[in-house]
Amino acid sequence: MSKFIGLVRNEHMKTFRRLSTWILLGILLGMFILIAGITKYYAEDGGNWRQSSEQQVAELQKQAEQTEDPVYAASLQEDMAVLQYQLDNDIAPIQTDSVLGFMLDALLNCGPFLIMFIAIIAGGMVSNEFSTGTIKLLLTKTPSRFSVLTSKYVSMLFTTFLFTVAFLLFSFIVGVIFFGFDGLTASRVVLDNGEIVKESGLGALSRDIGYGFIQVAFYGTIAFALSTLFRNSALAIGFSIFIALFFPTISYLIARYDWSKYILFNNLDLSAYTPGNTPIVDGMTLGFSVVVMLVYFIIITAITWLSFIKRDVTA
Amino acid sequence: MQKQPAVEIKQVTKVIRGRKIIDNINFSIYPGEVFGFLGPNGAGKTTTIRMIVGLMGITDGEILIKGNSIKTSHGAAMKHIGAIVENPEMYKYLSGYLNLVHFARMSDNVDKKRIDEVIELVGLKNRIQDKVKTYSLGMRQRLGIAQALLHSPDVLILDEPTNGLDPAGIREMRHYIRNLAEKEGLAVIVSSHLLSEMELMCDRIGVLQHGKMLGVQQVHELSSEQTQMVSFQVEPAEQAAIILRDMGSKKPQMKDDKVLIELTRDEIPVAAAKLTKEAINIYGIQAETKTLEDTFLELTGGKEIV
Ligand SMILES: Nc1ncnc2c1ncn2[C@@H]1O[C@H](COP(=O)(O)OP(=O)(O)OP(=O)(O)O)[C@@H](O)[C@H]1O
Ligand SMILES: [Mg+2]
Repeated sequence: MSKFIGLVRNEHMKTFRRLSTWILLGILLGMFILIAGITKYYAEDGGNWRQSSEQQVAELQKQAEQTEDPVYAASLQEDMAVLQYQLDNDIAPIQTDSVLGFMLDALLNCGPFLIMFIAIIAGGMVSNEFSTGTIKLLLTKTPSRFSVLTSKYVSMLFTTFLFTVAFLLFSFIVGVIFFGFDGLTASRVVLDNGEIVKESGLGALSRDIGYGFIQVAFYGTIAFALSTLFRNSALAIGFSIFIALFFPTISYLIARYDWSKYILFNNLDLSAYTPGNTPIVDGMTLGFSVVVMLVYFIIITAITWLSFIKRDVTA
Repeated sequence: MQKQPAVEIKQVTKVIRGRKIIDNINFSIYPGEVFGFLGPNGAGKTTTIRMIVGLMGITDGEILIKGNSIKTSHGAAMKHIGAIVENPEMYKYLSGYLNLVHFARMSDNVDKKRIDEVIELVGLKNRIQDKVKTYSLGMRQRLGIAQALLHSPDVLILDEPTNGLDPAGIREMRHYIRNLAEKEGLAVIVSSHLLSEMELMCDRIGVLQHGKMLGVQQVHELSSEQTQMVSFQVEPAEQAAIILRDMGSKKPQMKDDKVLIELTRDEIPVAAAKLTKEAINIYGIQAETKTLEDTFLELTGGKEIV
């Protein structure tokens, strides 16, 4: 066991002694600072939230009367209902120029970058050993091929965890520096299936971060598997990022087919099941997605580990 | 050499995509000896080494390291092996020291003291904290050896260890290898396609070609005890040839005014005495030592060596 921990430490050393890993973290921090700066620059003068909400309601009302599109009118009605509920119950909406609002926005907008960064790291973990030839040293020591690969995978998950924590920490620190602590405990009001739901903003944030971690870790797993199967990091990284970026479009086009709910990538974002969101295909549930993910996980890891253990090393 | 072999290769065959890369090879390597693996490019030296260290599967046959099958007990077998396969590739963005820490964590009972010991041994003390990307090839080769010796193995396997080294580096490497075998009792396997180099460094040489082991030769046996071609410059040559007819294993040959005959070292003065007794004038005797080079060329058919 202590040997296995040694193997994981080795993988960690190789990830975090690389300049590129720190550059990725630097980019993350830089992005947050940029977004916070822009948000602060364009933020309207705080003033009274009631006044601006009342103004918005009036505007939405006007639009609703003018439009002839019933779908659009319905969505306007929903927005109005949320605003009205907040006004009636004296719940201040989460401001974009508050630390909580900033963190929620950061997660929504920069989450895909986290997928990209982890895909870059995971996609190189095995294939780089092949391209540099160091795999020969790694596999001619006493640990079995199974332990070597498993230690790399565990290290990848741990790196994903560290990056997620860094994401949270960076966005919190940048948010506090730019917007102060105000509104940290604000509540979020959303309309879910025609019903008003009120939830704690911090609660929603931690839940979404948790789901985000699962999603990022799964994309990391895919990049890791491709990296092992094809021994080529460009392919592993490229494919994972391509899917993460373009699958939503593809998914939207094929959503009308019921079978599309069995596609892995339609099940990776569990935040689809949180209040205010709807799953891609009707009838999908959280439990369904978890089962689909597990089945794919077992198949992907079985193929990957088997291939790594069996194949000749000719690097 | 009646010791227990350190490495046993038993009827090993490797087939890749229907092609027989290694064809039923058989040999053993003993503690304290340097075994040279000689063959032209593409003979299958690296493939054999990859099978010994478990990087490639064995299609047929068995390889035992101190009695442990590499197929079924990888861990127990690899415990005894230190190897560099082809080039000494290391993590370039890490220091030499961290590279050694990395491999120490993969082995049992390698502490800081042992790491320092090995660094001292290969003479890298001054540069060990520098990143490997700043190392010269010779320094990388040394770091590779350090990595291979870290867990005090019984078998050291080096694929083309002198590749890319300058003459001084080659001499030093040779010295290292001889030392490890003689003083530490390691069994060392080195591969090369340079015979001259192997002659100076090895106790035994196995010649491989087209995946077949053509023969294993004792290096020193070859240069002293075996027969050699001796040329007698005599007068009259015809008569001398008749006198020498029943010596040596083959019939004497005539070439100009010389008689050529294959003799062992001890037979040379006997032959000279015979000729003198028969009143043949001897103007010169020349022993043409049959070198490994000749044996090698003979074995591999000469022309096909790249
Ligand atoms: N992965 C592979 N797939 C197919 N053929 C291979 C593979 N690896 C090696 N070979 C073939 O096996 C033969 C032996 O190759 P090997 O690398 O063992 O030779 P070598 O004796 O080490 O030669 P060199 O002196 O050039 O290093 C060659 O003909 C080579 O083409
Ligand atoms: Mg070779």
